[in-house]
Amino acid sequence: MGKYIIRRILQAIPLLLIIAVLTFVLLKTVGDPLQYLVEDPRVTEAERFRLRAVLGLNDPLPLQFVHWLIGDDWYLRDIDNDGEGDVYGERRGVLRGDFGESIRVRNRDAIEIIGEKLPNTLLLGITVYVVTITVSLAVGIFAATHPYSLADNIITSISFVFFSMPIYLVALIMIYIFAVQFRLAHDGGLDWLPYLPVQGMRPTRGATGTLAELAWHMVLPVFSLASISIAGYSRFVRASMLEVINSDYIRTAHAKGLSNRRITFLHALKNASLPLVTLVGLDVPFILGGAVVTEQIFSWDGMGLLFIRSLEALDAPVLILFTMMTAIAVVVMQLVTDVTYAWLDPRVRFS
Amino acid sequence: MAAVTETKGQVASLKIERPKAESLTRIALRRFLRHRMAVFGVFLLSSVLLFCTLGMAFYSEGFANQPYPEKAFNPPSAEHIFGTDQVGRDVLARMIYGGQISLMIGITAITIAITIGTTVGLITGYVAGGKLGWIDSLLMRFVEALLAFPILVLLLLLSKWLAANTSTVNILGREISATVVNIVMLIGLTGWMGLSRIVRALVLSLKEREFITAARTIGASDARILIQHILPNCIAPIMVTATLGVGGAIVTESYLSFLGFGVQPPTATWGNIMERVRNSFDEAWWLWVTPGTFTVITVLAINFIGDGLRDALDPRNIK
Repeated sequence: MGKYIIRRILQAIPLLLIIAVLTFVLLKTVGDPLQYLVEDPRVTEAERFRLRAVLGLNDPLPLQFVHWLIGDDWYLRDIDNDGEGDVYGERRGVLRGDFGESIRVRNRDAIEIIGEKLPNTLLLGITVYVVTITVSLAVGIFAATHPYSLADNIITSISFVFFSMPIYLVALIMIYIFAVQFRLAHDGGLDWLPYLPVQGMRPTRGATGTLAELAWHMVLPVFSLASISIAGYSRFVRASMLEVINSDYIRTAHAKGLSNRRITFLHALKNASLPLVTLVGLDVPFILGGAVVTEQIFSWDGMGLLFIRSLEALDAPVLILFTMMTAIAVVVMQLVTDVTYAWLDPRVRFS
Repeated sequence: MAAVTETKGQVASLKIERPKAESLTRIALRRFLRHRMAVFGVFLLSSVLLFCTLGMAFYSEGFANQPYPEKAFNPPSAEHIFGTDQVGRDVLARMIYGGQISLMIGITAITIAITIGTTVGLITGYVAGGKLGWIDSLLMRFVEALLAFPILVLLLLLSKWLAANTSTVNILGREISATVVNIVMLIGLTGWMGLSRIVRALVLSLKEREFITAARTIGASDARILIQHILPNCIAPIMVTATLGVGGAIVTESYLSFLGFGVQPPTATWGNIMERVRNSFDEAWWLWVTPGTFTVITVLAINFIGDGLRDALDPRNIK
């Protein structure tokens, strides 16, 4: 198994390289991140050249990639446009743990900027997944143990509708009911009626709120995101549970006189959870990328908002780190999935 | 000659023994029509299509795209059944023409995605393990790389690259914003990876089967084997992916529009009708309820149909 893990990690290296080249070429050919300086009359041509030189934007594209990879502290760069090298670069390159400096936020490292937003996104994303998996296990198991009953049909219909909903529509409906209308009712005399906050993570921007306030601010975004994934996941749990429940070994377990509860939650669920592990393993790494639309709607200060802002500013170092990070998470989660799978299903052998 | 007639005779006698033998297409169609949700989906989708086509008789596209600033943000009334938008355009008329564009984006984008996905899947599956195996390794690494991007991130990165082309193109005698073409390309180019993997896996198992060996023995070319013998056996997952994909593409377009990266006005889509609604969504609820409802109904119908197709085409279920 150790050998298997090492081989998978080695296989990931070309994958990461392709992703890096892809993002790099896309971002570097799309436009000039310092375009706004051209329109600024206070900035002289020489200053502009110097800034571009310091950020490495004057180098040819392949050289920029080399600098990104191994650093530019060995490279003598021309910063006053006289055709001669003047100063050495300052970056050490990705391979030496330096992901470069952000272009949008001057004098900040890309990794620092991402480090600030990542906890917010993880908080939201992990909560959503915990809620999603718990609820869809409960709903899916219930539906599978009562197949084609009235309750099962209602659950199926509701999940079909949510599954077809764009996330912003769920979010807007939630906000309209629980924030806007509830607030109107609250102000109109129903003092006991609470209404939910819509914006950000805390009551006032910048202030450190209490844990309760944070949880209160999370209700709407978590519910919006979870409702859509629950729709898909619970259908999936139901299908795989149904398949297992109808198999011979479950009948044998019934024949031996085991309790229904024991059969459902121990014997059936363990096998039915195999496909679920694969699904979760495929989905979970994308938590890191943040929920772009949802974070936008709720002004949640996470990776999704950072991505949009960085994209508008063509902030290549931050964006490349962003995509590399999700890619690494995908690779790692695939490994974790495989190992978990082997643990749950002893028939699986590593080859 | 005698041997041939004898074989023919055997086939004929087999047919007599099973007079009710149906073609697979007929079996699938019968099973599809028995699927109540799928038939309901066809009904829903037909209603939406009728709305988008018959509506043209009552409103012109010029009217749909013409702003009347003095009428901005009018709530639904007898004159404007679905109200007016932020520059006073009639939402009902924009729903009709926007629906056409949204559906067209969905269908053309998925046609592109299906074409790429099927081609890549067929080729990689066929050459895997052979002399040209490196093509398979290379393309599959590329697919893995694309799948390691969050899909919306990949879309937005590429949309930046396709640039904000603000000109218009003439499609079927209508002036349409060129961003429509960009969006179609975007969704098409990012939507094929899953299918290529499904088709590749199918081809891998199909090419080991006897009928392929037989075809090769009688001298069929690689292209003929792929197109005549392997492709028809991959039709079921391709059809299901295509159907469900159209719904997905319509939603993707509305996400892009919602984030401001979508189709540019005056051309309407269901997505961009609600584009700027975020700042005024509690006062102008009709601006998101109407396109939202239409999107959900359409996607729901398409999902029902896709579900029905999946059940109908699943060989494990054929009775």
